[in-house]
Amino acid sequence: MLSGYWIFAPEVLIVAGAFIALFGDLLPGRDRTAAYVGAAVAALAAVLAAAGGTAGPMVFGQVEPDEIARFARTGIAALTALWALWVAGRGMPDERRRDAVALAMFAAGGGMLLTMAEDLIVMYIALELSTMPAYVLMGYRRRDVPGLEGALKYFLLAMLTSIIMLYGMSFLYGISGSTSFAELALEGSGMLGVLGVMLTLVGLFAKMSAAPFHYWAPDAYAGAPAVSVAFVSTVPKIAGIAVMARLLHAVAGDVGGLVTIMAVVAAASMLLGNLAALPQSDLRRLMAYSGVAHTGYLFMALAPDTSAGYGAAVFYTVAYAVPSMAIMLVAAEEGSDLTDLGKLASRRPLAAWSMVVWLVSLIGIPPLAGFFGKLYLFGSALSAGLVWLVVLGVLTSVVSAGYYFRVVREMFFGDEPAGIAALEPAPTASLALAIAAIATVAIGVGASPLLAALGVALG
Amino acid sequence: MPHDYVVIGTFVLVGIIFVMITISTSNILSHQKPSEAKGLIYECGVEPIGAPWVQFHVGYYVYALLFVVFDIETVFLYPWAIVFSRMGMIVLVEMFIFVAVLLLGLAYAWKEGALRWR
Repeated sequence: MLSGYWIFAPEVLIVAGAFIALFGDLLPGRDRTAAYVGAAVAALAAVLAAAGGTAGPMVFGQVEPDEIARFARTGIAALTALWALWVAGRGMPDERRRDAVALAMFAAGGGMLLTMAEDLIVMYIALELSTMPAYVLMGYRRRDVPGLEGALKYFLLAMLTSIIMLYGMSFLYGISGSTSFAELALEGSGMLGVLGVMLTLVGLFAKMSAAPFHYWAPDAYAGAPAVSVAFVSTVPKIAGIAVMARLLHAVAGDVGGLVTIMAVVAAASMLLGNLAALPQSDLRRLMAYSGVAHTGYLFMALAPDTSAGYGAAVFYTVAYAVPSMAIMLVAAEEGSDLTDLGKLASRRPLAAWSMVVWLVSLIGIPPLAGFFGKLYLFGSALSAGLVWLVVLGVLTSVVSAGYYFRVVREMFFGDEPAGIAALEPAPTASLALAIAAIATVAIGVGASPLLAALGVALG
Repeated sequence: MPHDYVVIGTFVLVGIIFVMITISTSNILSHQKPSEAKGLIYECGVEPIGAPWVQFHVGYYVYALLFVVFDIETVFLYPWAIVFSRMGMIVLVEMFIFVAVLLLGLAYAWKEGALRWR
């Protein structure tokens, strides 16, 4: 009976690793060891998630570790490992690595469970588990008042949207008499069904900072330490997109008009995110708006209810998360104002060129991960006949080159910031950044087998 | 369908009217002899000391948090105790894992000095 449960080994491992990291000050080497242990355990969890294969519905149909979940779980665990590795090298602002790593791993465990959720209750609990630690990470500098204000704002708004989401879920349960995605029978429920689905989705929209519900992100990110933003802005997004694909697939057949709603939210996110990012001078704000824009691109593939679209969206979240996390980690090293990056190319040529790789991948230029991701996003929207949305997506991608290249210009032709101390060498942090740079290229090169496994074929 | 809502509406209306009638009847019929002792705040029968609008020490917050953790634990333990003999070994193991996670949380709070009064 227990044999099938091996598939959950990555989640068990990552939560166990979180507890080890939590008591990291009892280990020899204390804080740093805790971060190393966290990175190693998360890496092992990523390998197990990739090797663990897939299965049908399990545990009374509450979870389904399918191909999309496998890819997303691997991505979440791998990114958590990368982040913990960087933290082991450079540390957190308050020098408490162990708690940060433990929180990140709890969040990762929740996120990995979320990608498999086939039940409203599992989905809600997993979502809370993946976002609760994020609130603490956002307010990690405990004596920094503006930072705490940002974290509190984030916490209150996230709680509010959680409540809205629960309200929507109560409607869904009331209509169908079941919390299971497979048994959500919403045909003929009329406006009540639409209301339930919309309220539930609003919670997810806000958590992923989609356009009308994005207003918390720039303020919250700008107040938080860049290293926290690196985790919070990327890893939960992978889990969110995966569970949205599941939820939409369960309800799209019964509730009309979801395509239009998703397409409108996607269009608004792309426009607003890309245009608002243009004048930003703080890298955290810039990446917050870039995140809004990328949520728009992702929703474009989620809008038509096709398995190819869902696969393409989950692929792209990982293709977006790797460079996005790496850019924020560099910002955590160099300072998050754009001028702090001035003449980075002469100070740290390798880091500067890696930044170019990540930024170019975010714009979507071949042969990097972002290009193939966007190609398949646009492809799946096109095959559903959403031509106007694809045109908008391509146009806003061109706009996005404007602000991404502004960062590049600053790194190569900007003025050296006055009075900066030379950065201490931290080999593990550099290793983490190198892995991120290689992964950005490797995901692009290996895109077609990965996408084929996710059930995406260019039609 | 609208028929159901009529029933609910009537129920709400009757509820409101019932409460209004009972409260106003007791106001009309009862003797009104207020005294200082009667007007005191009820604190489990003990005479209150000081004003009720004092600020509480923020340290209580940690205790409230820890209390909620174990409150939730008991909420889960009761239904579990009823069904576990029918559900077999796996449910027993699950509950031990659950309690172990909570105990680790308490151990962490203890280690970090959250239980020390400051």
